[in-house]
Amino acid sequence: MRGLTVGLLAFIAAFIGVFLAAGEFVYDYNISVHRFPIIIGLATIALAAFAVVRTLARPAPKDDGGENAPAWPRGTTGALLWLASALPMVIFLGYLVGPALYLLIYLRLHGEKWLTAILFAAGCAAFIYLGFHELLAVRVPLYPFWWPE
Amino acid sequence: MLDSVLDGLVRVGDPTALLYLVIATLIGVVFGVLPGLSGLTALALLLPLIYGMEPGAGLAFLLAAHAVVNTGGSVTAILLGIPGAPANTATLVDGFPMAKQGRGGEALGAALAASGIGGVIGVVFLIILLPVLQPIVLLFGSPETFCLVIMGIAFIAGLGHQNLTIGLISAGFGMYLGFFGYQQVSGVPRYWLDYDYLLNGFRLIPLALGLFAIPELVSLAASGGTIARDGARTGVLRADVYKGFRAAVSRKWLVLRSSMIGVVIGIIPGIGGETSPWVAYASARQTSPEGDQFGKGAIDGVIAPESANNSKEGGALVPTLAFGIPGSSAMALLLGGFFLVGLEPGPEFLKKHMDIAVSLALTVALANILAVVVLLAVARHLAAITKVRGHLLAPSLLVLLILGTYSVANSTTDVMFMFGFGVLGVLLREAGFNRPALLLGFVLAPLAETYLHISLNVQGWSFLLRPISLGILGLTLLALLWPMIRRSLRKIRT
Repeated sequence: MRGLTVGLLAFIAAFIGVFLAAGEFVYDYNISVHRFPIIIGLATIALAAFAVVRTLARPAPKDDGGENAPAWPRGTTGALLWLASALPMVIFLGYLVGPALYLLIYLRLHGEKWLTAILFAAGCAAFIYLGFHELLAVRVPLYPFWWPE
Repeated sequence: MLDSVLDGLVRVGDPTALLYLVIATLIGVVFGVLPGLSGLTALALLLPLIYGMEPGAGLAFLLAAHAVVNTGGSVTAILLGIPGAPANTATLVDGFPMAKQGRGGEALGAALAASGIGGVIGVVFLIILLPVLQPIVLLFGSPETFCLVIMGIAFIAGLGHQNLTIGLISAGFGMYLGFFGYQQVSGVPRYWLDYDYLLNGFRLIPLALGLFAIPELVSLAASGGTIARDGARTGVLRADVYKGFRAAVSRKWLVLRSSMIGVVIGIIPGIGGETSPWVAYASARQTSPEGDQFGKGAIDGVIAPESANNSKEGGALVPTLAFGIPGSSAMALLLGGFFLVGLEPGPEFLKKHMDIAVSLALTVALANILAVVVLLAVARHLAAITKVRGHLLAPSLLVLLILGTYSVANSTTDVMFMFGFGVLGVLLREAGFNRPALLLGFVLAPLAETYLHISLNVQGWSFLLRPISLGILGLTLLALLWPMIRRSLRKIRT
């Protein structure tokens, strides 16, 4: 996890550094607009640099890379990808069919029976249409963006 | 004040508000029973739904769900040895051994009674403190409030996390994200990259859901199977539950003392959540006649942490309502809820909307009582929820997240940002960053900047030398450096 920590610290420092520089040299903010971001941004970058140096200066933990390493939890990347796949389905198929189809595919491919998957998908579609669209009057785009008006 | 209490009672007694309260309490209890899904996740999920609600009802809806999560969490902590919420870990130490001895029902009854009474005591103190605080908060001008905001962020960055540097970096990053979009004092848009969405900056709900809810769902999906071990015994006898309930009621001083500990720790930003039950547990261990039985199944070891668990919510509401400064990430989300319904907590809020403040306090009390009644009736069977497979829960909750995020501003971009922050949330969690500090920094950055701007315009940097400002900053430094000072003192002694 040392690599992940250092990577995130570097990302945070770079992110803030880029926007601080943009604020100064591209947007050319005056001092009253950019004063507080500069104070907080520079302090955070300094702390991140200190944390990176301290992390790298420490001897690598004995278990780093070994059997007992505090590894990236098993299945996390797969689970993240599975959950993230809901986003394109919702964008391209709309907020009615997208989530329902996503549930159907997800549950089937994770070993659930057809009946369970269909019940969940149908329940989801009914919940979105009756609960959100009709009862709560949240006008979710039921149809995909490419659907003719 | 009496008028405000009466107005507050009328608000809470409104049938629509009561209905919201009942629904939210049930949701909170279910979230409590499901390990991994904390009160924070419940708040994050429910936050989008209050958009457009009447302010008091919407906030009551949020608060009721959050207030009872720990009550639900005690069920699985005792019966299965799995704390439903992190704050229930102290309950597990004696609750689970009691269950293994066949006294699970007794432990459950004691935990529920202690939770309910503790929650009500926390509210009583909140209602007593609110009118006392009103004149005090008026002494706080922009300089003092700026220092208080910095203290709140520093406390949650330092005290709630083992690594102070990482905590401060998380808070700084959160604050920096809060600088995107229109600056409040000048209206100048910052860092918007010619992308209209960023003119209003990053939004609270996609950020909160991404940082907190998505990582929990990822864990749930990754584990896949049931939360409870196969064959785990979850049933208990009703008579045992009532025996435990009576045991807690008869130990009134223990409940009162533990609740007081919860209230006081809850008021201090950054340390309330998981700390107060342990402090109450340690205190009970010192004073209980069955102190030597602690860790082996002492009922006092269940009563003390559960009392503190629920009473701390009353304490945590004090800085949120009085100063507009949330003491925890959950309270930061609640603050987001205030903004969503068009209210801004702080001294002015107490002056103009004391009735809403009182109704919120009463909501916490009612939700606590309701949760106990519900759980007493169904606790014997509720632990069976943990046998629902993660594969079913994770995608279903994700659909709710998507709909909830979209419904706040009818924006698919919000949904995309939620997923983006979700990836960041997973990485930050795995690397051990302080996500509550990040969220609190994000919420408070515009507030801090506005107060700093006003203070500098009026007094220049000398505003830091005003007595209350100096006192607050000194206290902040002392608290942050205390671990180092203590280490040095120990070295000198040895």
